[in-house]
Amino acid sequence: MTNHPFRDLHDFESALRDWGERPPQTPPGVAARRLVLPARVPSRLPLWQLAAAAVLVWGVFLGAWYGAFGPAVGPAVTVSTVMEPLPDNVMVFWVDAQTPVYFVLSPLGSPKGDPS
Amino acid sequence: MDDLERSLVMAAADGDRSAFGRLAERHWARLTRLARSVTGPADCEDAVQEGLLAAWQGLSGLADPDRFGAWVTRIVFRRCLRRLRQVGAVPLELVAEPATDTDPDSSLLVWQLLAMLAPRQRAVMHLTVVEGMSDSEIAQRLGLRAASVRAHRRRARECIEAALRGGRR
Repeated sequence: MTNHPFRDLHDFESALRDWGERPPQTPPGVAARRLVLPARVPSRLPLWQLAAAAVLVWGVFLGAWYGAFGPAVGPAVTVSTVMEPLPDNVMVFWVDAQTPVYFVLSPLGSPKGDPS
Repeated sequence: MDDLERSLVMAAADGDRSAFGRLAERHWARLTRLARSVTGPADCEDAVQEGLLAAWQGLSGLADPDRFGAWVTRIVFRRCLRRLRQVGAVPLELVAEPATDTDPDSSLLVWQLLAMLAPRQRAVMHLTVVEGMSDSEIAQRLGLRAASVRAHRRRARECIEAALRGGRR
């Protein structure tokens, strides 16, 4: 850089102000008319919304699959867990959730139907 | 921001092309002056056009219409940075000056000194010296912090002063 006309920074900034304030080569009205605005592209969904939607869909799918094919949890199990302990000589089989069948093992000659 | 500008921004956000055209017309000169200081005179109008097209595409996402001026300035500034990355530094001999310029030598020398600075430093110097903006206004427009604006300006001035001292030797 040689023979520049600026004595100091102040001088340069004054010239910069003059240079920077000059109007653009293309007048604003002409530039605005030249602007060809395309159709708007739909804005993309934010990533967190996509992630939340994916989690929701996966949750619904998992729930449906588990309901259809998951391990059966029958009420008999629930009932048996709240039953009082049976005597040693009694066995119980569940026909369905409401129908237990008791087998009483007893020595020959004892009265029928006595579980103890 | 005046009421007219706010209504133009809202109409343009709803897809009104003529409203956006009027906004472009209102901001064209200011944006082109900034782009000229960042990319140089040869490339500045293309950068502003690209920035305005990007602003049109993204306008529906602008939450506050009152911030349109700062928002579109930031978009154009980023377009300028992108163009500089794509094309590299502008050779000084390719710098075209308007035919109306009364002192082309002085203009070329201003740009020669400005071109020595980093693009962000040029933008900060332009908005400080030409537009007379405060640090917070500049920070908002360039997507910087106010402390960064001060640091860029200090380094830019040191660089210019060093160049001026060197030129006098």
